[in-house]
Parts: sequence; structure tokens; C-alpha cells
Amino acid sequence: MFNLLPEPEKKQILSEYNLRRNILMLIFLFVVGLIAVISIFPSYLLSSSKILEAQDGVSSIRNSNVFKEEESLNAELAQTNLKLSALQPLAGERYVSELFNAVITERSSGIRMNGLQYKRGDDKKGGYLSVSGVAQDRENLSQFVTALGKNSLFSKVDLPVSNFTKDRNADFTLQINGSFK
Amino acid sequence: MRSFFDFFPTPKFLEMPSPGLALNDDGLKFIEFGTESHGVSVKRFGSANLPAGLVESGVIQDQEAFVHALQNFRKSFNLRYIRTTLPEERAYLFQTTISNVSEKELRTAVEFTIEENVPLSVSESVFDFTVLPKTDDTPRDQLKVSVSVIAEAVVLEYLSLFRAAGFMPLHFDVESQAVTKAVVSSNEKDVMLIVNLNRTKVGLYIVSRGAVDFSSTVSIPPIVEASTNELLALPSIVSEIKKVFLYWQTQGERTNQQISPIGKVVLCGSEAARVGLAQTLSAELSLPVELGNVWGNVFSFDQYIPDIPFKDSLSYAAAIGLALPHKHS
Repeated sequence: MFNLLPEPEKKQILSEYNLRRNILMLIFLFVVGLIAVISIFPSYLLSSSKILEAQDGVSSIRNSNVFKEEESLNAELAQTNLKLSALQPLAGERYVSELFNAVITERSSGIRMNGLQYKRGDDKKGGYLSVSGVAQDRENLSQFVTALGKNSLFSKVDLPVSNFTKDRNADFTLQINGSFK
Repeated sequence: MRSFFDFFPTPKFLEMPSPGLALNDDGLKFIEFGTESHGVSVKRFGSANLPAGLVESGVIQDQEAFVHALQNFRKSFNLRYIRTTLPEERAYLFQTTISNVSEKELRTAVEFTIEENVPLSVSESVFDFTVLPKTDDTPRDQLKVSVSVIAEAVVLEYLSLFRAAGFMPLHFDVESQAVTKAVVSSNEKDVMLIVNLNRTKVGLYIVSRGAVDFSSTVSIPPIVEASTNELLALPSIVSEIKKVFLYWQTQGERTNQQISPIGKVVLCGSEAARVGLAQTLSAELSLPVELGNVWGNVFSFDQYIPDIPFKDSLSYAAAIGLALPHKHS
């Protein structure tokens, strides 16, 4: 088909055509995008509401009594663990309960104990046990001190002489030394 | 069977609908085709006369008045992009044979033939061409091309005037080519003479193998006497046609080629449907003379009947040729 338009004019028409084609492509892409957004919007709303619902559920569980009890339980457990670790003998040391058992085993019926203290020693200075109580009479107290002194776990049992001033129902406090290893 | 594009047509924004607007000394005619379920149909059409003497043999006598007339026409029909004609009298048509060259080199090869065929230099002209279908007598290593040439100054003058009027021309063609596209079937093999008869001038186009081989446009006196309805211009028309016949015969002798004689005459144009014209011409020329079917390349009357009466449709031949859907061109 003949076209007697000069070449620059033909090029101008071609460039206008290309411009229109590009505009149309952009409009098409925009419309496709718009349709996609509109199509996705209900799903987005649904999923957003589900997220909010789940977040509400999590926060309500966190604020529930079960979680609060858990926290107090955890705190108590942590405290107990600390106590246990304090009582836990270091490597090579004897259990405190073993030492206390040794003291209690030597006790006769005439001795009533009302206090037991344990001090863990170090390498330079050994530990000691402090036992306080009431003795029925001097003889029972003396026998108790002798029995403790014979026990191989203890190296030295100190009983101040003032503890023998009373003949009956005498209060006493004695200190037992040993390496306890 | 419906095609993909029937279901997903090209958007109008991209299609840039451009009606055919035929311009000659007498006036303006435009037509636009649309597509409906049955196929192509006439979407809209219109015409307007130009003041007498405003355009004479393609030369615009008063540019300001011409632009004003174009503006009024554009506004009345809301037109912008158009495919329009350039004056036949200021264009040159010729057919030439060139050696078989590659498609890239074809334009350059045609360019070399311009200065030996038309009185214009290549630098000051605008041209376009079409390769004619090969026939049995075409040598294998040669191509026959039909070339249209026009002075660049004429194209730029018309372009600036159309733009000043608010039009955006997408396509310029000469009237003979546009009329041929409308009137001649694409598979026509015979040689024919198209007589494009208008109020003040007649265009005579020899069409061979579907392409214009020769064109001549001459001014004629008023075609009928108003009081007696006598065909006043008939003798001068017959005389001009006989000159063209003579040219065609001598063309064969000059080139030493066997040229098919003109087999029939086809009439079109605003005055073509005058009562008795076809019969008188047929008797004078001893050849079959028929009225052209300007819709033949657009649609079949079995599928669609346009709103334009057949008599009036003959004056729309050039506009139809310009506006023809591309698949027909």
C-alpha cells in the first residue's frame, strides 16, 4: 500500500503508536494489579483477623493464673535449687546429712538436741559442727562427748567446762571439728 | 469462522481509527468502516463541497479559506486521524522493471529509477512503490514495480494545511491508487480503464494486474445542460478516452512488448451514474462499460447492505479505497 508521507512523519507516527502501546501496557498491568489486590483483599482481611485472634489468645493465656502459678513455682524451684546447691557437697566432701546422722546416732536418750549448725571449711581451715541442746545430767553429756570423740569422722570435740556447772538439765553447746572429707 | 481478534479486538486507542478522506477540486468525502458480527460495515460517512475555485487542479488558491473549510468539516464529523489523498495532477505514476535485488536494496534500486522517469530529483521528492505480482512474461531475475512520486514541497504543503485544520494525516495516497483499490478486485488480471468522472474533471486510469499503469486527469466542461439534461461533456470525455487508448496501443509498440488491450471501462465518481452515460460510452468505444462496485473489496451484499445508495457510493470510491481495512489492501 502506497504511503507518500515523508519519512520523518512516518517515524513520528510510529513513535506515537509505540507511546500508545506502552501506555496501554501500563494500564493493563495496573488493571491486573488492581484485580489482584481486590481479589486478595478478602483473604488478607481474613488472615489479619486470624492473626489478631491468635495474638489475643496468646496474651490471654500469658495473663492466665496457670502462667502466674508457673512463675511463682519457678521462683520457688529456683530458690530450692539454690538451697540444694548450697548443701551440695563439693567434690570429695561428705554429705551434711551424713555428718548430722553421725552426731544424732551417738546421742543417748538423756540428750535432747535443739540446734545443729554446720560450717563448711576450706583447705586451710577445716569445717566444724556446732551442736546445742539440753543434757539430762552430767553423765549423759560426758558419755555423749566421749562417743563423739571416738567417731572417726571428727578430729576434735570441744565442750567448755562451764557446760558442767549444772548437775541436771544442763544446757550445752559443743563444737566438733574435722576435715569432713 | 471467527478468528482470535473477533473475540479480542485491538483496542481503539491502539488501532488509531483513521477514516478515508478523499479531497478533490469539488469537495471532501470521508468514510469510516467498523466491524460487526457479520464483518466489516460502514460506521459513518459524510461529504462537503468546497467553494468553487478554492482548489484548482490540486493547487490551493486560498490557503486560509482551505484550512477554514477543513476545520469546519473536521468539527462537523469529529475527525482527527485520517488517510487522505494528494492531488492526482501533481503526482507521477510509473511502472518500471528492476533487477532482482534483496528486500533491503529494493528501495534504493527504485530510487535510482525515479529521475529517469519523472521530472523531479530524488532529494526533492517523496515516493513509495509496490512490487507487482509476477506474470508468465516477467523474466525470473526481474521485478516489476509500480511507483508513485510527488514533490516533497506539495506533500509538506498539504501536511501543514491538514495539521493547521486539526487533522493528523497517517497516510497520503494519490486518488487513482485509492480509487483502484476500491474498484478493482485484488485478483483482477485483465487490463481496464477506470473513468473517475467528477463535476469539473475526469480521471482516466489504466489498470493492469491490479495496479495503476497510467493516469491522466483533465478538466471538463459542466457535464450536463441543466435545462435539457443533455450530456454536454460527453464528446470531450470520449475524446480524452480515445487518446488514452491510443497511448496504450503505442506503449506496446514503443517498448516492443506484448501488451494486453484494454478489455473494459469501469465508471465511478460523482457523475458516473448519469442516465445513459454508460450506454453512450459503450457505443462510442465499442467496449463493455460498467458502473464500478466500490463495495466489492469491503463486503458482500449478501452479508450487509450499506446506507449509502449505489449511485452516491460511486463518488466515495477514493475515500473507500483509503479507508479499506488493511487485510483487503
